[in-house]
Amino acid sequence: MTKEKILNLLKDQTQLIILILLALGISLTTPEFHTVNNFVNLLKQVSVIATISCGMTLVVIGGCLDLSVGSVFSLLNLISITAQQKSDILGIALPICIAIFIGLFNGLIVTVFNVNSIIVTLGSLSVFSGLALLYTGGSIIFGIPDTWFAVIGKGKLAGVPIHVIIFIFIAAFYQIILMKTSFGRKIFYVGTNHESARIVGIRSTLVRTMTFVISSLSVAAAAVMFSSRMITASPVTGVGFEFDAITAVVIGGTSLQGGRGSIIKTIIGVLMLAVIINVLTLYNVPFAFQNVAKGMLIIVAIISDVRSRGRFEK
Amino acid sequence: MTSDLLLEIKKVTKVFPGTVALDEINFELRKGEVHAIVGENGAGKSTLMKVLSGAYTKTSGQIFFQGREVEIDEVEMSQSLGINMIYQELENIPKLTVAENIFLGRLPKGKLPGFVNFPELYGETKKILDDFKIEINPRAKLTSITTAEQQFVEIIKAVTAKNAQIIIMDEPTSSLTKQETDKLFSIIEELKKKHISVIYISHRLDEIVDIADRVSVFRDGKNRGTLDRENFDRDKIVTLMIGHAIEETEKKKFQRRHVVFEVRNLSIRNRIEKFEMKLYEGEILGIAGLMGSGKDELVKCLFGLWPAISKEIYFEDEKITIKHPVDAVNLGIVYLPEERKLQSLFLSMSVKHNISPLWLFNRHKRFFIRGRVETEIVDTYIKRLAIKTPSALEAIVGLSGGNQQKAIFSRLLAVEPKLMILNDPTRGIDVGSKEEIHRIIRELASRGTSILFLSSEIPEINKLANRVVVLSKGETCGEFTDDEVTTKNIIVAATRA
Repeated sequence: MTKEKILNLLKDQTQLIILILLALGISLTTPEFHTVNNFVNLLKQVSVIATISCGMTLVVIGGCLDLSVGSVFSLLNLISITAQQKSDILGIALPICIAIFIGLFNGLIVTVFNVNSIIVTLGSLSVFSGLALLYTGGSIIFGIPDTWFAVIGKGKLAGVPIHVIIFIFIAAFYQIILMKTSFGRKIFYVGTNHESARIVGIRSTLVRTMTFVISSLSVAAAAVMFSSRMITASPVTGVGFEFDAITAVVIGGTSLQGGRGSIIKTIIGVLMLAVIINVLTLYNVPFAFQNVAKGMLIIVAIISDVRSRGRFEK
Repeated sequence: MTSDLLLEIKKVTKVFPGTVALDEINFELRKGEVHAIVGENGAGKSTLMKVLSGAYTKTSGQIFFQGREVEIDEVEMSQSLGINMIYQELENIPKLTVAENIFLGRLPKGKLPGFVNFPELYGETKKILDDFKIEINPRAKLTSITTAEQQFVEIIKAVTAKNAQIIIMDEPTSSLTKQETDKLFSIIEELKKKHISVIYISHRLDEIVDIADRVSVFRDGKNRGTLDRENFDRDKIVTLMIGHAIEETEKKKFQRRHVVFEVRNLSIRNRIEKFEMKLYEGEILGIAGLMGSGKDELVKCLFGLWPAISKEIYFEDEKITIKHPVDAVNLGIVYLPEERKLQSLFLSMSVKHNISPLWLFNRHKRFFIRGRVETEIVDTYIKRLAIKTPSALEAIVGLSGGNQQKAIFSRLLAVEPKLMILNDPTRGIDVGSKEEIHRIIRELASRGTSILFLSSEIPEINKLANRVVVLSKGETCGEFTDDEVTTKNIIVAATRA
C-alpha cells in the first residue's frame, strides 16, 4: 500500500522529476550552467512568459485557450511605453485598464456566442497584432529612461529582481484562487463538465469570461515588467508568446481538455522549457533547431495528456 | 396471410451479471406478418432484439430461421439472414441525398471508372419510392427532409439494399405526428404485400390494434402470451403486461395541506400545451408518459434548462422566475438529471468534489473555502448514504453506478432542498442501490421535502408516488391520487395515444 502510494505520488509528479533530473544532469556535465548567475538569469528570463503562462493556466483549466496573449502583449507594451512618456503611473495603469476590456472582448465572444475559443482568440490575435502595427506604423518607440518606472524591471530587493518578486506574488495569488476559493473551484467544475456545472447552479459564461480577463491582466502585468526593463516597445515583442505559454502549461501537466492543472505545474513547465532552451543555447544549437525542439515537446506533452485522459472515458 | 414460420425462438435465455434479461423466452414470426411486442421497460424486448441483430450473444436456447437452426453471434450474420433493425438514432448520412443514401455502397456505375451514373440513380430511386407511395424528392439532402421521412428512407434502404426479410422497428412513432404515423402504416402495409415480416415494438396500444396481426406481451424476460388479431383486447394486454404477481402496494391517504410549488399556463414550443400542476409539502408527485410525451422537456423547463413560451411558477405562494438553474438552486430547488455521466458527474474529479458543489456555492457561500468544513460535510454524507468508496479523495469514475448515484444524492441533500426534481434516479443501477435510493426518497418526503419524480419504469412510479400526472403528446391525460395510483391505471392512461 505504501509502495503503491509512493509510486502514485511519483506518477503525479512526473514533470517535477524530469525537471530535477534535467537540471542535475546539466549542472554535472556543464560547469557554465552551475553558476548562481545562470540560475538568476533563468528566473529573469522567465518572469515575463511565466506570468503570462499563469494566466493562461486558468483559461485552460476552465476548458478554453487564449491564443491572443502574444499580440495583446505587443499592444500593451506599446501602450505602456506611450503612457509612460506622459506619466509613470499611467504607464502601469493604462495597460491594466485596457487589458480588462480585451479580456471581456475575448471572453464574452466565446461564452455568449458559444464558439470555439481557439478560433475566437486566433481572430483576436490577428486583430490586436494589426492594431499594434497600426499604432506606431511598425516602428520602435522609446520611453523616458531613469524614472522610478524603471525600478520594476531593473530594481532589486535583497538581491532578487523586483519583477521576479512580482511574478512570484502573482503566481501565489493565482494558486490560492485556484485551490482555496469558491471561484477557483468553479473554474475546475466548468472545465471538467460544463453541463453538470450549469445544473449545480454555476454560471459558466461568467466564470469563463473571468478567466479570459485574468489572462489579459496577466499579460498586462508581463507587459509592464517588460516595458520597465526595456523602456522601449515595438509591435512585435510578443510574437510567439502564445506558443511558449501554451507549451509551458501543457508540458507542466495541465490538461488541455480542461478541469485539471495548477499554477505550480505551469511554473515547472516554464522552467523545463527554459532549461532546455538554455542548454541548447549553451551548446550552440542553432535557433531554428530550438523551435523544432519546442514543437516536438508540445506534441509529446499533448499525446501524454490525451492518453491519461482516456481513463475517464469508458 | 400465410402461416409458414420465418423465425422461431425457442427457450432463449440471456444472463447478465446480476440479472436474467431473457428467461427461456419463446417467440415466433410468420412470413409477411406484423408482430407487435409490448412490455414494460426491462421486460426483455430490446434484449431480444439485440440478440436477433447480433449485438448480444444468447446464453442458451435455439433460434430457427426458415426451419433451420442458426447461430447469430455477430451483426454480419444477422444481416445476411435479412434481419434489419431500424434504429431510433438513424444511421443515414445527412450530407448525402435520399437516392445516394438508399444506394449507398452499390451506386450505379457510370461510363468512366470511378464515376456514378446519376440519371440512373435518381430514376431508380424515384421508381422505388413510387412503389411504396412515398413522396420524397430523390435529390433532396437528408438534412432537408423530416425525421419521419428519414425513417422511411432507412426502411426503404433496408428493404432494397440489404434484402431484408425481417424489419425490426423500435418505438418508430415516438417522434411522429398523426399523419406521419399513418404514412408509416401504409409503408408497413406495402412491406406486408412484399411478404416482409415486421417486428413492431411500441407502447401505444391503439397503434398496435391498428397495424399488428399478432401481439406478444413480454414481462420479466418471458413471453406471457401471444394474441391473434381477433383476440386483441386492451384490458387483456394490460393485464398480461402487469401480471398478477405484482401486488399493488397499500397506499395510505396522503395529507395535502400546504402547496409548495405551483405551475400555471406552462407551454413549450412543440412539446407542452398549457400545463398546470400543484405540488404539496412532503408529497411525491410522479410524472408518467411515453417517449415523446414531453415530460423530460417539462422538468427541464421547470429547472431553467429548456426555454418556455410561457410559464408561471409559484413557490411558497410567491411568484418566481427561473431562467437559469442558479435561480432554482437559490430557492432550494434541485435537479437530478437522467444522464449521470453527461449531466451529473464530474468524472475526472474526486468523490469529495462531486458531493460538495451545491453545498459550496449555495450554503457555504464563502469566497475562501473552509476546507475542514467541506471535508466534514462530505464525510457525513458518505456515511449517511453508505457510499462505498476507499476514501473521499478517490476519483468518482472508479465507483459503481449505484454509488455514483448515491454521491449525486448526497450533493443534493447537502443543501437540504425544499423541492427535488428527480429524472429517472435509478436508471442503470443495481437492485440493491435502487432499494436504497427508494428508501432515501421516501425518508426525504416524510421530512417534508416535496419531490417531483420521473421514471422510465412505471412500477417504480407506482411504488413511490402519492399522486401521478400522466402526459401524452404534451397534454395531461390523467391524474391519479392515493389509492388510484396503480400500475394499471398509469399504463392505461399513458398508452391511450
